[in-house]
Amino acid sequence: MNTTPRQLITIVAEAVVEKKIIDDIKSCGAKGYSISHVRGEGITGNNALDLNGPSIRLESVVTDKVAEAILDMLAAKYFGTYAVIAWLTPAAVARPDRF
Amino acid sequence: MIASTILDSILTAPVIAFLVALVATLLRFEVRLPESLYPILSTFLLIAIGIKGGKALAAASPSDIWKPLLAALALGVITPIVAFVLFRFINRLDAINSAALAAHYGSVSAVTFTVLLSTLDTRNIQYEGFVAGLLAVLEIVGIIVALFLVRGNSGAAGWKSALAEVVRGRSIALLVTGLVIGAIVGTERMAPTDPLFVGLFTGALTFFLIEMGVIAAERLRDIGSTGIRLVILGILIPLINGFFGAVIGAAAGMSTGGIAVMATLAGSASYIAAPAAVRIALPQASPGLYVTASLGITFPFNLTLGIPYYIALAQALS
Repeated sequence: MNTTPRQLITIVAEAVVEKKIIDDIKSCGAKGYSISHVRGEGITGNNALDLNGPSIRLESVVTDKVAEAILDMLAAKYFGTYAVIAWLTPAAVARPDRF
Repeated sequence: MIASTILDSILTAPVIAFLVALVATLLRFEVRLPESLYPILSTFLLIAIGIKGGKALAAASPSDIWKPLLAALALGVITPIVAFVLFRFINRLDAINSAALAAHYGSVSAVTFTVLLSTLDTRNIQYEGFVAGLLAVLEIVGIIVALFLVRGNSGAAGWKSALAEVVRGRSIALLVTGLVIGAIVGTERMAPTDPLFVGLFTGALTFFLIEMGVIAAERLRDIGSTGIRLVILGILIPLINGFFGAVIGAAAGMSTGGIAVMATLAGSASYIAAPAAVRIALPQASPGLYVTASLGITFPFNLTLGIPYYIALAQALS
């Protein structure tokens, strides 16, 4: 089957910013996303935040350009103040028009 | 006499459940309830408190309510300012962390409020049934006032969206849903639902407080890193604000139980609505400070010694 290269962007964030991040990645051009609840530990290790709900793992398959826009947006609005991390993984997709 | 009054308030199923779970968790026993129970129990409790208040609202006239409502609004302004000043100048915290803590101490703990009502019921002390409406008001006002103190310092999202978070958030939304249902349907027509919302209430509260004991114990472990001043203020602020609450409740002409409710609302600190709002509005503030203070120090203090103190204040003033 023919596939097209895209980027899988994965964002792990504290629960309280879920709605805002969804709005922000959409305005960067993401067309869809999936969210799951996750547990874990990071260098801040601040489990005092758990009361607001479990952390989320948001995944979205996007073009290179959108991936870059999302990372820039996260750096400007979230990395400094919230427990948020993000990474890119190359993906090969069928139906490229959907991403 | 004093010891027996304190014992009367502590020896109730919810408070003992809390203490047993707290101690067991500190001793590293795995008391934790299954994860899905926490949201189910808290949902049930909020709706049930709302319905109870709504039924009383349906029966009350506006002339019964306006004075207590004004009193609640006054407390919503006073309590965060008292907390802000004390954290800023006695604990020497910066303005942002002081405001973050003030939002927690200005807002209220629905669980502390519920345990007080259950204690008043067991001790046959009467109170105005509509006080759950005041709970909803005070939960919001204190946060607004505290965030307003440092409105120039809000984070990416701004303090207005933090307020939207509180007002539309789950705890207020469920409480108000219950209030509206109870107010529309009224006591008589609600009777068929009583076995669930009235009959199971104290049992569900006891169940819920086991989980709260576990959560509070986990926060209690962080006290070492926050300093002794935070611990002292976590106890002093409820004493001071509870006193203001009792005086203002008495001035509003409330019953003995009603005064105890106002003292408890003023003396309790939020750990659900306020952390969510503060995290959005003041992301620079340290959750390790405000969650530890409200949940690890003030909440256990209020459940054990605070509630008997608020009831004693009410009895002295009425």
